[in-house]
Amino acid sequence: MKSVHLHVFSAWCLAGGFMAVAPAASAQPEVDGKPDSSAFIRIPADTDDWTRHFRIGALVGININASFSRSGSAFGISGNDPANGSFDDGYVRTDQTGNAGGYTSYWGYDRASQYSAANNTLAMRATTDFSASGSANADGGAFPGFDMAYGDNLWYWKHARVGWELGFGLMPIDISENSSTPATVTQTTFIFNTGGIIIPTAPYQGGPSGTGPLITNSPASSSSTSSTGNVTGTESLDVMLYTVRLGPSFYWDITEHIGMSLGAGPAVGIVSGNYKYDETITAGGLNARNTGKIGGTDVACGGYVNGALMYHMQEDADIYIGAQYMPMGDATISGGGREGRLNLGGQLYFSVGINWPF
Amino acid sequence: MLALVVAGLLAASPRAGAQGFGLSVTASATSMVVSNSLTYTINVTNLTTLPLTDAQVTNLLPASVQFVSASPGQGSYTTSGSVVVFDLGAFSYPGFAQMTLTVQPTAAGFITNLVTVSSITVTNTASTNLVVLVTNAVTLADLGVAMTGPAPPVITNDWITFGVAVTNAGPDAAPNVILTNTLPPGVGYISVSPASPAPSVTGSNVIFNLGALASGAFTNLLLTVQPTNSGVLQFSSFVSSAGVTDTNSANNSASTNITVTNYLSSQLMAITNSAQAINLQNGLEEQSILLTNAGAMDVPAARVVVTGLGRQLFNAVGTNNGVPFVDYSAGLAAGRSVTLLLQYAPRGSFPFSNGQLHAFAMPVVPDWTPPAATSASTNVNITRIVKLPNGNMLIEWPAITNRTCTVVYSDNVSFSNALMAPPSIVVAAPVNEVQWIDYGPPATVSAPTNASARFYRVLLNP
Repeated sequence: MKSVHLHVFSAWCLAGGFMAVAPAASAQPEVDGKPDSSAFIRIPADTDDWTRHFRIGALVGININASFSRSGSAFGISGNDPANGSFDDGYVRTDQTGNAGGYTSYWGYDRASQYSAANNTLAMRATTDFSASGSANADGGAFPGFDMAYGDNLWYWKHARVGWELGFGLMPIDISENSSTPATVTQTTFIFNTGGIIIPTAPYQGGPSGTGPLITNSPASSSSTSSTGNVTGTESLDVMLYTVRLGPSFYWDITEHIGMSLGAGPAVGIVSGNYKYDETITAGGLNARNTGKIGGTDVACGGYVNGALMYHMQEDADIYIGAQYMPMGDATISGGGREGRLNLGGQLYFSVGINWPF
Repeated sequence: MLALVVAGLLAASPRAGAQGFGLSVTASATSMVVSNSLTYTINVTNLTTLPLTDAQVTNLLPASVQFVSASPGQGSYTTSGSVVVFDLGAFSYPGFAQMTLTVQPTAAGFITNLVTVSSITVTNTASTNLVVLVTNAVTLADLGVAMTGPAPPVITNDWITFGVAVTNAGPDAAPNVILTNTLPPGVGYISVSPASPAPSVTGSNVIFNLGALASGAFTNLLLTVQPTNSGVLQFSSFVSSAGVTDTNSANNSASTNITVTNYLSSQLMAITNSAQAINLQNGLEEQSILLTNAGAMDVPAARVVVTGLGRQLFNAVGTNNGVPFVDYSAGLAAGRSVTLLLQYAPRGSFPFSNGQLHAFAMPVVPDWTPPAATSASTNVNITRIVKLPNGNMLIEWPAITNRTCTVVYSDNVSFSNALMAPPSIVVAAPVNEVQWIDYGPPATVSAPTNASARFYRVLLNP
């Protein structure tokens, strides 16, 4: 996949190169500096004209989407911690006596069905992992961002100039999807002895003081079962997209106050951020929450074609509106059987800002 | 209240000779309180027959007045110290100008604003003054204090707690409320709850500066003291606030008499008669002791003081000289014994000897007196009663955040001859269900299995 992206990137480089070479090949600079009306003229280095420009503006990016996929088994659960006494339907923690005698007052349970009077036991369940496969797509909306560029003109012909432009863009992207997926859920049941006490009515929450009904602080036994359940929740890509572009530019003064520029060339995008998930695993009447994020950075290559209309407000300041098509390869953030893929193949920017010629 | 004197508003008094200016000054209030705003409205009429360009209105204010703002109807104004000058600019004939001046008196007393209108062009001037009496505000409030004493019996050197409630029935907030509690001779101050504000203790007076008390607000304090002498001791409290006119001084003081007695003469003895063991139902370390009346006289009630404890005596109902004790509220006939259960926290057995148990006879413990209004709001709904295998009774009810409860029991459903089962039950979050066990003495006068009938009620403490 990356090799394809590199080939595409190379093609954009060549395209940009041809654009740049073409006017240069036809340029016929005059020794005395007078323009030839039928060819591009090299702008002398010591010209008094303002050949360079710097522009800065805001942009909106659209046509960006993402796909999310899980493939694998034994995704862990963050919402409980059985090793430390946190279960999906209760808790058994260490009280202020340090569980003197092997008992704790710091326990609680949710449902009467967890208690077995016949066996004097209390069952606590925890979803320990789940397996799920599948993918989902999500379309992004419009993302505001920032754009700036610096360029110089090398040749001119009548009201047209040809040069180069280096641009930098920055755009935060947050795309999320909400879906429900079948899953195979593993749950572990921990059995605690209640020692024949009358346990308080459910739901009960005990405190850490050490006084109050006591149960054993360690489970007498545990067993695991697998069942079919669902994973419901949100996955999102919360990243920052940095783009750098460089290519030839063509500028034309249409009227005294209005100009137009065109550009094309290769571009590189750096995607850095997090793939986040916040999901609820439901099985056997229990809900377990699972949240987390995977950080990562990826590079996408591609190219750009852009155009802008400029209005000369005053001698040294223009305002511009522009559009830019910047197709790039995908960028992915993945880990632990999860993958978030940002599709930048059709991204389109609209921008507005200020241009300073100097 | 604000008293007021309006002094005068003198009519304009142009100097003798040709007509010059008409001048009048009025004030926004005929009486006022310090720090309120006072606005003068000044009217000037040009009677000189000439159009003027240099007419000025000069206000000479007293030092006890602070300039706030001015609004010239025309022209401009300047201030310099206590002088405010309005420059009327072009003042045509016939012409009329009105300006306002707002000030804030900073002290009580008469204030006078001397106003003069003049012009260099004409020699005529006019002046007037306005005198207003400014007084301090009067705060009206009805401060009150009430006291509640501890339940008897009280033995010398017991740490007893009495309540003091300070109220302000308004209508104004009372600043700097001072509560003075006078302890009788031989009574030492121990502590107060809540701990803030801390009191100053001067001789037999325990004095609290309660700060400001809003209209309708109250402050409850629980003072713990130690009487070292027996007798009927009078405790009194007095509340006051400087600068407040109290509309009802009859309730500014309160007193309560507390009867303090010595232990009765007896030959009581207490010894342990079980090992310490964890009770899984309540999480406490428990141990039975045997209290025996070895004398020839019956005793009306008994107390066991437990010294040298390395941990909390969980079911203690008080402390004597700082040492915890449990009370047996029933009589103990000569030659008879009763088993009492001592509960300790945190759980875990620890060394204990009979020498730590000290038994005393006490006066009779009176029956529980129901609250004046036993409304439903003071009763907690008991959700479960279970007879445990050992014959004890378990009562369960939902915990109420930040409130303590007391269990009351009786042998009849009408709750006559009812008794309290001390101590009060304190539950901390996150506990949401309370279990209480009637295990017999000393919580109740007898084991539930020995009672013909037993009825329970759980009350929310104030």
